[in-house]
Amino acid sequence: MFKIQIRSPAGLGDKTGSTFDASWKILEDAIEMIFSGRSSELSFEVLFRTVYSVVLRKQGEQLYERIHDAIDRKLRSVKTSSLNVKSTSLLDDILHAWNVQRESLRVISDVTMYLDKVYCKESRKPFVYDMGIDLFHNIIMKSSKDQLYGLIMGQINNARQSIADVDFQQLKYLVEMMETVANTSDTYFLAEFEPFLLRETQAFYSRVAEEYEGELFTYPSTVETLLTKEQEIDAKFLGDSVRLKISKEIRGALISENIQFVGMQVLPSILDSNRFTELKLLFELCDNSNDRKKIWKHLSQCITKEGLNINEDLTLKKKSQVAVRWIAEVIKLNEKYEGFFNTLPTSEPNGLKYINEATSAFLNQNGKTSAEYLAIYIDSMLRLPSEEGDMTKDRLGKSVKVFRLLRQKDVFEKLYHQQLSKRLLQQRSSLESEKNFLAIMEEEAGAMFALKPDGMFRDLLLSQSNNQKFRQSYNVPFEFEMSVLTSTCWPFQQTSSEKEVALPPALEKLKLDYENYYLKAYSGRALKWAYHLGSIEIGFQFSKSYHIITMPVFAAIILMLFEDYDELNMQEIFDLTHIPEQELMRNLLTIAVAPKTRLLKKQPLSKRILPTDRFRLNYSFSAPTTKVKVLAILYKGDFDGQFNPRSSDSLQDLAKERIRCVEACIVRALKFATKMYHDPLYQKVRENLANRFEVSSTMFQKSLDKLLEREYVQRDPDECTLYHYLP
Amino acid sequence: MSEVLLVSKDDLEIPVSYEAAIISPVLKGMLSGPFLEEHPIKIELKDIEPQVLAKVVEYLEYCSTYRNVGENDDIPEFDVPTEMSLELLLVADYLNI
Repeated sequence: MFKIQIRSPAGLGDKTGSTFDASWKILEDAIEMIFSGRSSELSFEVLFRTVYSVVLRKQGEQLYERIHDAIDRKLRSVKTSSLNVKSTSLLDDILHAWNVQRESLRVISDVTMYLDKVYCKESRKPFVYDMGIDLFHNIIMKSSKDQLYGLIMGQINNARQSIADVDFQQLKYLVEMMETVANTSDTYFLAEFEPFLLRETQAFYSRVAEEYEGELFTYPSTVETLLTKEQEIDAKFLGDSVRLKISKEIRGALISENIQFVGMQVLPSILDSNRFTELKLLFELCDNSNDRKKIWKHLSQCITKEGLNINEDLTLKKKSQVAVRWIAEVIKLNEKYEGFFNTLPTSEPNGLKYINEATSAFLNQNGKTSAEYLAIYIDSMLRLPSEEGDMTKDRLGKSVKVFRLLRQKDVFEKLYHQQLSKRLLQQRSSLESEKNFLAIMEEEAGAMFALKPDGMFRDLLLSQSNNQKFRQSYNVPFEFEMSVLTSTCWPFQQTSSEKEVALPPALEKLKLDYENYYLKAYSGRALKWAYHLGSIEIGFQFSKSYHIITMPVFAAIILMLFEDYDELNMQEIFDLTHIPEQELMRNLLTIAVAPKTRLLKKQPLSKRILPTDRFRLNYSFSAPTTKVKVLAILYKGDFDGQFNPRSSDSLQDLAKERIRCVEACIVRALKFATKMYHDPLYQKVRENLANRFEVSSTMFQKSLDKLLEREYVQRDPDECTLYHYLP
Repeated sequence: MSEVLLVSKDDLEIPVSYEAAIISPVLKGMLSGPFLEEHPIKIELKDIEPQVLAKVVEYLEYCSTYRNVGENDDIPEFDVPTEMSLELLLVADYLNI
């Protein structure tokens, strides 16, 4: 067994004699010396050993208290002697005091290291250094807080307005000071000064915004300049995190707080002057998604307004021109904003939605007119000669986009079918481009859309081959083309004239022949003749010139009467031809009154046609070209003619069709779910039909009532809003 | 400033490199502060026995040699004579090593 002998330590420090007071005297003097910057005259070792011995003697607490008091006294004397609250050099003075304090504390805390280590740690007191800093905060900074802040803020604001030279170095030191001083858990800067700074900054920039006097549309760039300037200033004395907060605060003050101003005044002004770079900037400046949303909302309102301001240029003579111009403007508008949207960073996924919604909104505020104009626009595009193929194609593509935004799609569909049928029968457009366009539309609107047009194309092709066969097997005296149309595909009203129209003998024979041929080829089908869709070409030698005149069938029939008669009155014409009175009127107006195509002379000359008016051939007719086209003029009564869905006829048709759609949709929905409450049912129907038209609640109610009446649907006996499907 | 002299009880001067000395916050404070000690690079620690101070210096050098060595390298054990341990403990406390 070893016995290890451990030498007992002799012990360090001054064990003998010196009392606490004696030791304290040494330290007190030392503190005094340190504060007056004479620490180089002191021996560290001596001081350290003194502290060490005091602490060893368990007098740490006393020592700590004494040091605390000593520093406290020191600071108070500094405060009364050199800090004048009203002095302009307060900032300098504070900084100076701070530097002295910091330096001294560092030295003192070096000396009292042992105190920190042994006493402070154990009794959970702040270290001497921190205690000193804390005292500095309590004694010096608190008392002059208002002045201090005021001065600093004044400096910063001066810098912002570039009024006076600002000592950024000083500011930087002050910020450092505040960052060093701790207040509870955060630094003094974070806890006290930063909120103040942000508040003041906000106030400053709110004032800037209020006093903003520049052009409205330069507001975003002004804001940006302010921001960069602020960044420059801040970079000289502030840390990164504060700078970020400040710039956020500024954006808040200049934009979020002023969102009303920005949205209602700046934005329209930017748009009016087409300054999209400013607009883009505006979006970049808004870092808050809520603000951006608001701006988008205002923007879409502006777009809608701009859209509504696109005037239908009523000075143009033809409705089609008005429509073409209007749609072109709409497309331009939408493209303008889409172009803008594409310059934005991808962080704006909703932007396009807003733009399109806005376009959609004004399109729909114009109601059916929009749909109508679009249809006319497409009509005139397709009627253009195909040489301009590419441009037309481009325009058509764009118009499809407009179609996508249209809510009353069924109106458009109806009109499109009508116009398509006209184009096809009159052969005014190339079949190829029609088919191309239809393909695009089919992709956009679904197969249902193309159902009828496909039928039309099929009819035409079939008719062509029938015409050929017919010509081979029958004797056809002149060029003759028939189109056999399937009545469900073509959007024409059936003409069921009670009395068959009497045709000139040549035509009559041809008609019978064709009926013969067709019924042989397809037994069991009924042919109905729709004269009002056809046209006839007649060559005639007038007294001055020879003309080939293309005219509606009825007009031709009337004209051919004059092969046998010199003069007829209207009643006689009617008796001879049995043309329905309305049509007769119209065609007579066309060939006897319309100034450019006056093939008949009317007695007496007047704009109206009376049964007693007398007609004879106008041999002196002449026209600049050999080929003359007679266009049936429209009645004054339905001046806008069948083109116009506003005319009561097609409007009613449309309403009926819509109700049918709604009914079908209700039944489908109920059949699937067996029973449903009113509101969800309404919702569902709305959703399902949203791509065709908007279902109003009255429309829905009406349809539902009808279904109840006809017992497709039953109301629940107990709950009046629950509906059952009746199989 | 590469070498510092530590003076022990019997006026024995023990040299220690500056890098090793500043491992002790106390010595560092003495060396870097604006105190008397700054000029003569000599620190008087007259309470400490020379052999103990020598051991302390040995330890400081040991630390400064190996403190930056990776974990995987071999670090020789530092030998502490048992009989000196209490005294060492006290000095270590004083010097805050």
